[in-house]
Amino acid sequence: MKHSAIGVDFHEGTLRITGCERGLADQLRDDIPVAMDDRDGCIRTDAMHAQRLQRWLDRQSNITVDWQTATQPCLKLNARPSAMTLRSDQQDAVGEFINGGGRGLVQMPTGTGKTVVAIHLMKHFATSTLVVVPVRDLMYQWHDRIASQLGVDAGLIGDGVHRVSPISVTTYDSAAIHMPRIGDRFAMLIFDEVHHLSGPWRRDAARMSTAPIRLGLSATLPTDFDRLSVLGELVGPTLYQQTIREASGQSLAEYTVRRITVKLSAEEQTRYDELSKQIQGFVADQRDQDPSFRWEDTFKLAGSHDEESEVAQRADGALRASRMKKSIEEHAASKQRVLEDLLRLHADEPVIVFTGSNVMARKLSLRFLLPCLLSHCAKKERREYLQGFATGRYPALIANRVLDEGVDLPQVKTAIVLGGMSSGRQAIQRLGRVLRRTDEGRRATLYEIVTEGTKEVMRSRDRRRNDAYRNTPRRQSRDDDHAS
Amino acid sequence: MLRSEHAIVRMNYSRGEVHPDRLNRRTHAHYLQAARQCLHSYANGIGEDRESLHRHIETVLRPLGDCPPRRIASFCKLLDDAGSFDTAAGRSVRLRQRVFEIAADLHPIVSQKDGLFDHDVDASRQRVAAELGMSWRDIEDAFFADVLELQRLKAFDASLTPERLLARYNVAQTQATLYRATRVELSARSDLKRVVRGIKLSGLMHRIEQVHADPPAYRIRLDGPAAVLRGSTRYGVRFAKLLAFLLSCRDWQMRASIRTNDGRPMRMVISDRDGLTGEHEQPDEMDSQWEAEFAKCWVKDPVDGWELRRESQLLSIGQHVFTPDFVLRRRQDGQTIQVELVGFWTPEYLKEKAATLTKFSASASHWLIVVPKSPSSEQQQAMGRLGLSLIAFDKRRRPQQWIETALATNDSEGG
Repeated sequence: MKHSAIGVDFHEGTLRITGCERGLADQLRDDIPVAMDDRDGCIRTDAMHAQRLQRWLDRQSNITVDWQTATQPCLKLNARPSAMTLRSDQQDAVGEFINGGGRGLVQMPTGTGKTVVAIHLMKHFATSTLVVVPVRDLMYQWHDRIASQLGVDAGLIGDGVHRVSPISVTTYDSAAIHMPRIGDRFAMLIFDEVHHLSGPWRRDAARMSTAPIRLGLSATLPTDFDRLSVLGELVGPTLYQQTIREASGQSLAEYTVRRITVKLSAEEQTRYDELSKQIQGFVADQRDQDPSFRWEDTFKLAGSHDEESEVAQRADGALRASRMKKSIEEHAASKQRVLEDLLRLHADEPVIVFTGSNVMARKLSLRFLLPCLLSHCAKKERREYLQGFATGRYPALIANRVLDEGVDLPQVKTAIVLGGMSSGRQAIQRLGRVLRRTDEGRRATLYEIVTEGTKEVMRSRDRRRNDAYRNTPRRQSRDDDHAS
Repeated sequence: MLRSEHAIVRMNYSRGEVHPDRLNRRTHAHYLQAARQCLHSYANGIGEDRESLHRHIETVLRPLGDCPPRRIASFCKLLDDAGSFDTAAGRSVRLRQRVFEIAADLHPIVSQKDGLFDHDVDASRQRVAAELGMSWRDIEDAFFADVLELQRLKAFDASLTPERLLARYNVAQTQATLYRATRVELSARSDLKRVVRGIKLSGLMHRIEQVHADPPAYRIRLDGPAAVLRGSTRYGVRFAKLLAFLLSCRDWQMRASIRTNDGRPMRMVISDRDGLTGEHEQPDEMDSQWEAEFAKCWVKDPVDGWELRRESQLLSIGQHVFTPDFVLRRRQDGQTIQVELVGFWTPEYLKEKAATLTKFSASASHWLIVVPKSPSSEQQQAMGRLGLSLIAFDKRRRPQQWIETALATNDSEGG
């Protein structure tokens, strides 16, 4: 057999394999998903197959391989002792991941110290690592944690910064954008809240990297088969799973949900009913023409072109009406009164108020002169408020959904939600934040303020049916349902 | 540029074609007046916040009756792009922090004070205002002035005409459709050098195919590295930028494969005859004085049976493309001579040019390298080493001699 020299290099998120004889190429194609590329005379594969390819090439005889990807350094990480004390469940997670070959998913509820597990694994593998997180806030939090527990000033990629170091932190979007250039520089990837990776475009964040070690962390792994198998392909199989039930009592406080229903004012109600009528009229007319018409189809109609301009305008009108209804629900004057009462009730302890929109967050911020965290807040301001809140400089905090996804909040026993929670996952993530373990063992309380006789009540009921709530120990009496 | 959520497309499923939203002089004549009003709103809206500017635009465009929300949003984006906004960077943040610090002692701020809590809304505001030495009104105005929708317009491009705004809209919608493209196929005939420049700037990968020899025509398929593994829209923005560049080129057509939501394969076809106008100036016919002189020499005294064409051939090796300045072509049998004028003097340029010519020398049989009348020693050295036929340009020398030199040297050397 002829001896051949194979070249492998990293090219914009793919691996280029050159010098492959035809016979060898055919064999390779049977084992690894590759494509012939006549544009520059090579065989190409996704960078994520790097390890498989390397092992495959190692098994072939009569070839030499010139591997031209960036080399990954061995790092010396000086972990602080505090980072290394693990609870038994955290120890289990670490062990399962290492035994599982360093490629897979770890599910632990929010507040159980996923970060500690990840930091421990970073120390264990001691190699170039990229941490991928959903939002910019988390990027800075990870940076701080890595600094305090591993003694490393990690690089940052995203939020206008592009500082690539052997240990770096980035967001999903930045990772997907920049991976074609940095994809061969890390041997380990850590995906925080890994369910974000299954979006079609963001998959490139995993696909375009050569890293053999891949850890996916999540409080809520997707339940549908397709999404989970995408994560399986991009990261690895589920290696450790802890449910919220297992976690509670052990590391989470029990909590109470109190739903408070408020009424719309007479004017609000009139306007609300008018809008409802407008929507019903539109839907009825559409059903006359097409019995299979569903409300969801309205979006398509409203976006359609000027040919059916009249329908498009009516559809647009219906959508606006629907948004106005939500806005009336959210801005109902009585909610502000209930909020005032709750702030009075809990005047002596830290409270976090969640809103469903930036507008509402700003409105409440201006009314109660309390710091608000909005989705566009610069990092410095957010940190100031979070730290100020943690140290008691600010009595309460108002937050839009920007605080979704496990942003580290100080320990809170009371949270108030004004609309905006629409899915089981969001509910879990938010709940996780008031579920922090405290020494006194007092139960956390989650207030939900919803308007009566509106869709919000239905949405709230849907939420309760969701597993996230059902699995949670909850004590609730009828009295809790109404404000006194 | 617009964002992909602004894109309005019409699908023609029977023809498999996607048509981006396009305003035209006939059907949309009334948009000209509306565009004028929109520009007026912005030009006179210095100091207004983005949210209210957008509301003005909506009140202008919505009554037209044929302006869907996305079109309105697109115009808002284009108008925003033609202006600049005061981001209130730092000022509002500092103000908020001060207010929250002062108000922390007043918490909870209640509607009406009672025995338990003494700080009502009005008194709290007065207290904060007094401590800051500002009126409450000014505080409220500046409080969230850094929030995107509340930022105030600082300046606006007064030279923007209604026609230009509508033209920008048409280009921007076509670009927004390209965000969803997985692959693009270009047809190029003349103006090859400039098209190639656009391709190089785009950073895309290409496959070049000559589809017609006389007049020369090329098909260039463009996409990115990962495209051989799966269709990906990640190169869409590059296609959109390429389009902006192509608008300053002549004689091209672009066929884009578009990914639709329902997964049906669709295409979009655009060409230089679609009436899209770009922002780049069309360059002069000839790049340099010297090229013009060279062409003039030929016109004065052409060689029978031969023609001189400017930048009409693409030579490509893998992902490298080269367009020689001129091609001399014998009509009878299609024999060609690649002509490259080397008239620039920095050593780096010479080195690069020599490397390119070395790489491509084997992809054509006859070459003529033209250097100035009195070449520098550096130049003579760099070009002489190539082993290609070389002449010093002399206006008095007849073009017949160019051909003789090129055919003689290369024939004898090529053996």
